[in-house]
Amino acid sequence: MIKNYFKIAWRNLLKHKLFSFINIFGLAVGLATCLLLTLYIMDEVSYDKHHKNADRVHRIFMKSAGTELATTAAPMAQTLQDEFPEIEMATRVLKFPNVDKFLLKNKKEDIKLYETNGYYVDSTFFKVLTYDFKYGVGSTALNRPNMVVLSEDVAFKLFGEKNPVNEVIDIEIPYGVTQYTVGGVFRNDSYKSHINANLLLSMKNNDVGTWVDSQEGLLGNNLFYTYLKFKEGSSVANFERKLPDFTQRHLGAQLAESNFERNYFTQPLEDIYLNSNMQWELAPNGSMTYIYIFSAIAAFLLLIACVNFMNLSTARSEKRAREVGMRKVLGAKKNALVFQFFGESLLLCLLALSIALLLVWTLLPVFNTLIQKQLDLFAHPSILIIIFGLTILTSLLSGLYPALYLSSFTPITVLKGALVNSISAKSIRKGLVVFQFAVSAVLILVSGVIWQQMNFLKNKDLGFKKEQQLLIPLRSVEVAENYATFKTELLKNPNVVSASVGDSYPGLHVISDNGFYAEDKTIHDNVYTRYGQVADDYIETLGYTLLHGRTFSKNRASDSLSIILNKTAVEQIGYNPETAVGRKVFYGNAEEKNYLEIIGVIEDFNFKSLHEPIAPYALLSLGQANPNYFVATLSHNNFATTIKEIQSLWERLNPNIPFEYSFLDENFYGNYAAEQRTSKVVFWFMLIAIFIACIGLFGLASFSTEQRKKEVGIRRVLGASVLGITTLHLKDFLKLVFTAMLVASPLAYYAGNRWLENFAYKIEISWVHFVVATVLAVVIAISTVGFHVVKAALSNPVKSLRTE
Amino acid sequence: MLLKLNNLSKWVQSGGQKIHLLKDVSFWVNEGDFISVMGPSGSGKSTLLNIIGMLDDFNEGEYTFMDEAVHNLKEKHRSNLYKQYIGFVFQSYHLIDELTVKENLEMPLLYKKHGGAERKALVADMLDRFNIVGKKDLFPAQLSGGQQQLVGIARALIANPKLILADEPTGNLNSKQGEEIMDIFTQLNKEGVTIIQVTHSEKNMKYGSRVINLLDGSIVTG
Repeated sequence: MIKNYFKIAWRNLLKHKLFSFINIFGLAVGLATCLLLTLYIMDEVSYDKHHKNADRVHRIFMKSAGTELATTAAPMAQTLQDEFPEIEMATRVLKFPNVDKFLLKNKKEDIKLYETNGYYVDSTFFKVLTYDFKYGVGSTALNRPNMVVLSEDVAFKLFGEKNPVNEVIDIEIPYGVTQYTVGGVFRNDSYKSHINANLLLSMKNNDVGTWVDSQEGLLGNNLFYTYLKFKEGSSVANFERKLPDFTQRHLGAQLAESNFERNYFTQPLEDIYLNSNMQWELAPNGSMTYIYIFSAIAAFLLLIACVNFMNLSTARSEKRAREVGMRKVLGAKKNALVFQFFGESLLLCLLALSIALLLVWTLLPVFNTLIQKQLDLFAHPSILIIIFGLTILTSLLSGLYPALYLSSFTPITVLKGALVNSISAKSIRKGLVVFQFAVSAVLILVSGVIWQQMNFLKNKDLGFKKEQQLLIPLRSVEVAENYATFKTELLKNPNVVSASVGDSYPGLHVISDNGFYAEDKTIHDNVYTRYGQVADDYIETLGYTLLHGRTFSKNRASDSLSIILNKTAVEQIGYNPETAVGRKVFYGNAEEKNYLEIIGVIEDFNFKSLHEPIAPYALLSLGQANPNYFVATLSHNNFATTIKEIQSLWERLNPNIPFEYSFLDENFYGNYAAEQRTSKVVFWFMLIAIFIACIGLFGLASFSTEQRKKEVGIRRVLGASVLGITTLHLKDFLKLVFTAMLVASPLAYYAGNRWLENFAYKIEISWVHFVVATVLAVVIAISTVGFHVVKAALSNPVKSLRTE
Repeated sequence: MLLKLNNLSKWVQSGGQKIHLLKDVSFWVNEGDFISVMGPSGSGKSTLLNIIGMLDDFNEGEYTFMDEAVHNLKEKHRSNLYKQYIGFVFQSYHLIDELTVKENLEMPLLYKKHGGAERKALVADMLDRFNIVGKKDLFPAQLSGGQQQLVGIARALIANPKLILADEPTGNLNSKQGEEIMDIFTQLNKEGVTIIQVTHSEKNMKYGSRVINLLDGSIVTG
């Protein structure tokens, strides 16, 4: 029997090549995208699941004035462990501010390289978190000061294949060079963690160690990620309930004085990667929202492909109806027929699956670049179960309606030759086409909105000069100290317009902050202000607009008590921008009250990404401190040559330090990396959705014009023009497209606005978007069905009527 | 007596009016009969045949088939009954295009859950009996109309029914092919199969032993 079913299914496939192609290929594309997105989602949800007793490990974070901070102060770990018996162990991770790259040197082999993502960790780190060690063991890897654990990749770059344990390397950061002993090597890709470390260095060390040890109190310098491992059977909820009391005990007085509020909370280790998006996260985390977006896209694409199958199967039902009727007369029961049609959809799905796997295999590298991940089709054995499940699900989804519909014919109506395509079947088919086009239209609209917002972000006037700004990081003490020579030499180049140094640049995460208040006020009224430390010429180089007063003077020492504020800061502190110059702003409490004199007021500019509105901001003089970045404005001429000249100058002055550079506008735009990724993904999936919907519509058009051949013939004989008949057909399809737009518009409006909520500065979704999207959808629909419609209109009426 | 109809009526509602398709039809069929149902278009011939074949319902009256009261039977029971005892032959053959001659013949046996060897034997028998062994691997589209109807009759016979219902079996055939098909029916009738045929043609009517004339849903002369 089953053999008989498959035979029929197979012969049907071969007989109707267009329909088979649309069905199989559409399903294959749908399945392939679904698989790709499943791989992505599986990867995203696999973070931090491997740690031993992961359910007992939590990170402590704090909430202050509405913002959540992933970090706490250095003594937090020890204090908590001392006071709460339910904590088995606490461990800290430190991402040292302004150290984004570490210069590693293996002197024996004369290998030098920069590495990112180096974190200082306590010796208990590997007792709380689980790593897969290739060389060495976790328990002893960091048991002495100045030890480092390398990732497999870094170890390979420095030492090749050999075991590097107990080898000594030099690690240079802007604060000096220190020798570290390799304590172990962990495998990169066996486990995924929100701690994306390449290097894990002992917290006890000769560079930042002294600073760490000098940290006292729980109030300031909240730079440490604190992980707590609870004892078995203890309640984390109970612990969290005791935290307000703990905060009151240790910080109550200090918080009351400065009018700050602060609360501590815990979050499960396993939740951090997908559910934590606080200030100062260790690395950009994933996001549950994107998981939802991608799951929705995956599901809808598969549904669109299934709709093709349903529509084409039911459309062809007239053809199959006779077979169904005859089978019933010959004794087939309804479930035997349902089973048969399911079998057919399963056969189709299996064929589609094999094409889909081929597609996934070819497209995975492209997809990996798109989402910046290293996905592997067979990384998880469970993917096989998912593939299998997905195929069954697809065949059920796409086969269910046709199976029930086809098997429900009564033999007598079918065999009499009555028209089987009932009104309800037709309207279901139309409804499904509307659904397909609505999904495509939502994607068209949303990707239009995203595209426009991305453009807006790129082109918006940020209040400073972002083009042609070359940034050179100063990653070692030596270059930072000698920046003046570099600057003098550089300015001799006619294509360098201006140059300066500072501790940061716009768009970079600002970590320096303070609370300032006006002359006649107290610390209770302080205005939370972030600040940067800059040298002279910095304001001019970056093109900030000076409204009143002056900028910093060339004499490095003289402006140590001066401050330049942006307009928002001046207004919030309570001065008038016009008259603020010469007034003083204060910080610190009554006992340690300090002041700075306002020497200038600058126009507001976006010192952070456009996700956030402009906040109070200040500039202080760099004084004797070392800068982190060198900024140079280049002229339009000979861009590439100028950079080469700058490079050779750098190499002459700093032969030991590799030359690196980037551009301010690109770095600033880099703040939108996540959005850029989404925009690309949504764009590509929109194309795929449109493609699948279009081949479905193409098939349906071929079917419906075929069905209306006789009608067209009669109309032609009675004198209808080709144009008249073409519009008659097109009207039908366009009605569907317009209905789809009506359904899609509010959904897209809602989704687009939800996405735009991430930005403080954004475009407005207007009727123009909907008009453009509608026109686009209409053009797509017409070009899809046009061929069949015109062909039908041009066909010779005598031929189409002869068969009757 | 094979079957008996007693005051059987069927109607449809159209615009609040009852339109009778069959009205008070009564007759009986004995085993071994060869009955021709005649009448103009729309007189209810095919409806009557479909009701006898239990493919269609009726509104009033009694229908007894082999001592079973069909009007009281449940759907499932009824379909078991016709599957076992009735074979159908259609004007437009209704062969399944995607299956070969052999596979078409095999299909009723598949639904009756015959074993593989038995199916093969029965199919071979039929192919032999109708002289179409050479055509067994061809698809319906590759056969002439007469040959297709031959396959249709073979398919109706393969499960060894007591009654064959033929709805204008020669309607789509030329006269020579028609004669051949009618000869086969006559032969089958001689072998003991009861046949009810619906026909337009006087010539075909004469092959039968009894005629039922229908006009506007009622029997005119028995």
